[in-house]
Amino acid sequence: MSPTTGQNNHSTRMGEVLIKHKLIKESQLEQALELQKRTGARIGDILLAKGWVDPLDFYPLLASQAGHETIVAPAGEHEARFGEVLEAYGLLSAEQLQEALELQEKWGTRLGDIILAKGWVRTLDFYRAMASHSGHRFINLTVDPPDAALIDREDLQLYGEYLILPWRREGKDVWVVTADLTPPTEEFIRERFGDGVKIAITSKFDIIWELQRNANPYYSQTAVSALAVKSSEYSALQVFTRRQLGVIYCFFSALLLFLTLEPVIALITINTFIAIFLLVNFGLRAMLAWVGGDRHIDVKVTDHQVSVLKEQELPTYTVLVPMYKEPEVLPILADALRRLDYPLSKLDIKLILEEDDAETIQAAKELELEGIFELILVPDSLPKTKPKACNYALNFARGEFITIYDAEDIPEPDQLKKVVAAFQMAPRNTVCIQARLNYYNARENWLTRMFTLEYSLWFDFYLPALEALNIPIPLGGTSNHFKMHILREVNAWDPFNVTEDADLGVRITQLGYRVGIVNSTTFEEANSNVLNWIRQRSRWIKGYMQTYLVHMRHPLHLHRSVGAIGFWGFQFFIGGTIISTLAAPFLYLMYIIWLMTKTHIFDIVFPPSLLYISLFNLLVGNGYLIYITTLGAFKRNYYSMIPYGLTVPVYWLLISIAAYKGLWQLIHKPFFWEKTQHGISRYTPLARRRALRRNA
Amino acid sequence: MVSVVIHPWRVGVLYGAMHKEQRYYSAAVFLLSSVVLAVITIWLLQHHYISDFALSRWAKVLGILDAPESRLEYFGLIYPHIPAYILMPFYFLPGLKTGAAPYLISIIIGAALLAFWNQHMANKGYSTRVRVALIILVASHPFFLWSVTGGTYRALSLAMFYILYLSLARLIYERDVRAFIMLGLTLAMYFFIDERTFYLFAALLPLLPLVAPPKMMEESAISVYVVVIIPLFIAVSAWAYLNWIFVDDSLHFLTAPESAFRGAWRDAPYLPWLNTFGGTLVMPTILAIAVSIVAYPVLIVLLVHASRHALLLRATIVLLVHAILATGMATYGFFLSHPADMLFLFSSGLMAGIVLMPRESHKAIRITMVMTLVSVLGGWLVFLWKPTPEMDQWATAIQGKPPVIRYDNEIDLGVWLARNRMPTLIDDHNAYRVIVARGDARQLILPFSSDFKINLLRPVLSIRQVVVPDPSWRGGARDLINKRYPDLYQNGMAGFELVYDQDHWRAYRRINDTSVKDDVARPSI
Repeated sequence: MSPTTGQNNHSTRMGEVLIKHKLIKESQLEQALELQKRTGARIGDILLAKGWVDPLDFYPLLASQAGHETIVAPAGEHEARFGEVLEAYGLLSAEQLQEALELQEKWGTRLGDIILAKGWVRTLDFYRAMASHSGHRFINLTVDPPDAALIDREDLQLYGEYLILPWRREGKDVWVVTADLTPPTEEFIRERFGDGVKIAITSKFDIIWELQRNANPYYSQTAVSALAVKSSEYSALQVFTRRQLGVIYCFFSALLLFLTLEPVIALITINTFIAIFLLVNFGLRAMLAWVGGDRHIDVKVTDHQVSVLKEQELPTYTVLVPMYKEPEVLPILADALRRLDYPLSKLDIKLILEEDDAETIQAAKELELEGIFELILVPDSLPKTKPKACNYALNFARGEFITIYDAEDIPEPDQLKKVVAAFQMAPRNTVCIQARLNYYNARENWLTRMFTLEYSLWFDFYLPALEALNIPIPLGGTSNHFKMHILREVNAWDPFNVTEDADLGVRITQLGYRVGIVNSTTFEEANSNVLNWIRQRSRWIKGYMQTYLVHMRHPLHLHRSVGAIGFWGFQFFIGGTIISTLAAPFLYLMYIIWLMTKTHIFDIVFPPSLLYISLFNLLVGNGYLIYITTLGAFKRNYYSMIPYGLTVPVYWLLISIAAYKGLWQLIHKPFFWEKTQHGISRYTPLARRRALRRNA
Repeated sequence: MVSVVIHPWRVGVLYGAMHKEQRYYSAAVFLLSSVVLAVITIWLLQHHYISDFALSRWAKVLGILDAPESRLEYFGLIYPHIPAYILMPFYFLPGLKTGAAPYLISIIIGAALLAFWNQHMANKGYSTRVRVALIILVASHPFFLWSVTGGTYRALSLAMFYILYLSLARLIYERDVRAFIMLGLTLAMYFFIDERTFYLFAALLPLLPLVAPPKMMEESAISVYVVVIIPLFIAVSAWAYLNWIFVDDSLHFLTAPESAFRGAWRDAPYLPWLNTFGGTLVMPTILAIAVSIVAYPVLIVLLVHASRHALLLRATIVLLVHAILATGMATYGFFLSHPADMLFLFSSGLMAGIVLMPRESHKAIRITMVMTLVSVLGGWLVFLWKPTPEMDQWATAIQGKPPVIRYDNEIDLGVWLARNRMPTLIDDHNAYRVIVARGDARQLILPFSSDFKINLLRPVLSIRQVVVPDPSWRGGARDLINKRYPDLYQNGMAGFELVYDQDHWRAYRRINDTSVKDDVARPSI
């Protein structure tokens, strides 16, 4: 018997098997046999090439016919062979395989991660092929869900990290499914479930969803209460401690008594306190602008330092993107994240969506995002805050570093690499690096211009100066990058604090770690609507109040842990922001009354020395703050915005309005998350169209 | 020949960590300079040099700190306040009440400036020998000596100009925000130190394109001007506001005839420079160039050195043009009494220029030193050319010649008032020399006080004693008491008797007031 005859016989038999399993038609088999005669190719290749049979159906059948459980790749070049298998399945083109191999060499990651990251193969197909290739059973958890009784709550976080899940017990055997078949994972599985454990393959999304489905109450509870239970002293769950209430009560009682017995002296005392406080506050800001104004403070991570980073050595990076009712900005965000200059296969991006946010969930599904994007659905529970959502998603984070972006963020493409370089250069106890924030719609209207000037001053001057002076840094809303294990160690974000980032920055410093600033910017959407802006700002100031109250529960401890400079810097940078915004309307009002009436009723509470301090604050202090606001635009080359800085007193008035709203909410609705509506910029539709076009 | 070329703006020239040895050197420079400048000042004072500025400011300090209620607005708002504030702590030092404090402050600031300069040169790598030689040469320049031994605020102005010029240079080289902050704050601060600021600022405006970051100029030139103008604008607005709330006229500091912000305007007829060139721009500017070439030929050397370095060249051009243009403008505005009154700033400009100059060779340094020596000689020529009375008095005193003007009559009155202590009404606008001679202002009722104002509202004074100058004497007519009671000096007042009459001054006392026994023979009327 000639080999061809033998091959034909085998092909006919295989063809018959396929017909028997109703995978092909007889006419197709005849055509394939004709082609085989002419080309000498294998029947399977022809059927697959013609697309008449699904490779995921064909290969298992072929293996069973050959007497093997699965197709086993030859020894060596395991991953390259897996790539060939995918190519043979018709799941991957030759060009894609070639590109994947090149990227593998460059990034130093597994071929499968690259293929998934690129979105070339559907996740389910990928894992089925992987199971087939590695000789493991494939289990579709949506069809065959796991036995919840096998899931150990203590190990939930490890399940998420290793991407494993105990599936079922079959006889004496315990089956564990995994989406990450690596020696460490196998070792972990055997360590946890014994050597006799059976391992099967499943999709990583199935694991995450099953984990969520089975352990949602636990995850939710942990996300809400981990900090409050483990380090209650840092939790804003209790707005005022008893001691604080006592101090406040005593303070106001004494003040009332003082006002009753010696009204003039009492008023002068209050006036003196405010004047000196504002004077020092002004002095601090003057110093921060001076320190932050040095050009050399900006050159932190150079382009060269970024270029010499070896991509093979870059760590896995988790990116958390909490979103709520923001479907319109989703394509912009996805586009920005895709353009990050970081090995895609080392990105672990979590789109964190609220369970009840159907429209954003739907929008995310419609975008058919590639494998680097994972959807995490946060179950509905209180408090409904961003930090709670992030805490929830943290259970599934697998990166060595982790960062947060808001839905409308557009980080500079090299930001992650710059952060990695910054961590390498920073002292060992630096556990968080804050990127700078700015706005892409800066020139939209007066409000966005003022917001941009303010942000530029804050992130380009104040924060680098705080870092240089070792003053606790209140982290900005997004783009703060953490070392994952430390973030978990400090119990992550406080879900009851509405400026959880600011709180975390101070907490980290208190625990002996450092926060750094990196010279990379994330561009956001500046609030272009006054009412929306007031909502957002009231939340920020409320959060500052919460942060101040939390960290001032034990002032001596704070002083000991952050030192004198850090302590006073905290008082005036955080406390100063609160007091100055609350005091400003009264001072404005007094001033306007005096200006209009020239009354002498205030003379009594302004003895000469106090009058001079107040005049200094009014003229020099405010003048200087106006001046440095104009300079805020300088580092960003927003030169045409400089004249707008002169209108900042009007903006301060808006801040004061928001501050009173924040104070009111602190008392009545301390944990209420005043949602900022994103996507209202007139630039958003354009950016969305551009992002969608690029993606297409 | 030194082959190393150091970048003219090396980071750390100004902020470089001081070595211990350098600190000692700078301390030594400060101490030695203080001693030498103090010796020169003592020499001047022994030869009857008296700075009117020093006396008037010190008299203000005495008046305010000896008053029952001290308020800063009593200083008046028609001149920059910082020099007066700096004087205030010296009031509390024993032994300085006779008016030595303004001179002492000038000496300290001059010596500190030299010490800082020494430090900056050391950071730049100049050898000790070169530094010492340069310090001696620059300090010997009459413009510098006049500024730091004259008891005026010119020493402070020199220091500010040094910072101003380094700020401009920083802006040229570093183009960072701190440079803008430095420049802005220096200008704002300058306004509270020296009334020349308006002209220095105006002269700077056309030079900004040379200083500002080119990209910024291209994208938004107006922003450059806004950023530079804002601090000074805020300072001036703040001052105008204070004028408004305390004097009810926000422009009082500019419109008041005696305002220092108007410079020598009131004395223009007596000043040869203003008499000839006041109100013109071109001729005084050309003459300022000529004066600069004679008084500071070393600046041309700096310009030649800078010609090979584009940025340094810009900085040097700004230095040269700035002060000259300011001289022309200030003459146009009838502000400047003499070109030296503006060009003395070149002394600190020269110091900053030497700091910025690249150290290319020993030869270049030698040439700089030789030309600085020539500048010293040229400086003396200029200084003695049509000097103002103040300059003349200083030059006469330093030469050990008899004084041109003496104030014996005011000193006598001061001594008399010190011995006849009682509440006395007196206007310090003319009587500041008297107050300083008295040694304090206790019981003197001065124009800022409400007692003074209340008294002047009455037809007959209710005070125990009053002192008035002769209305026909220069300045006497502007005396507030004379203005209210024009016959007082000549005819006295009902219920008052003449108790002092010497030269241009008379004192009247309420009749039958026997609480103090006079120790000066009452002159007959």
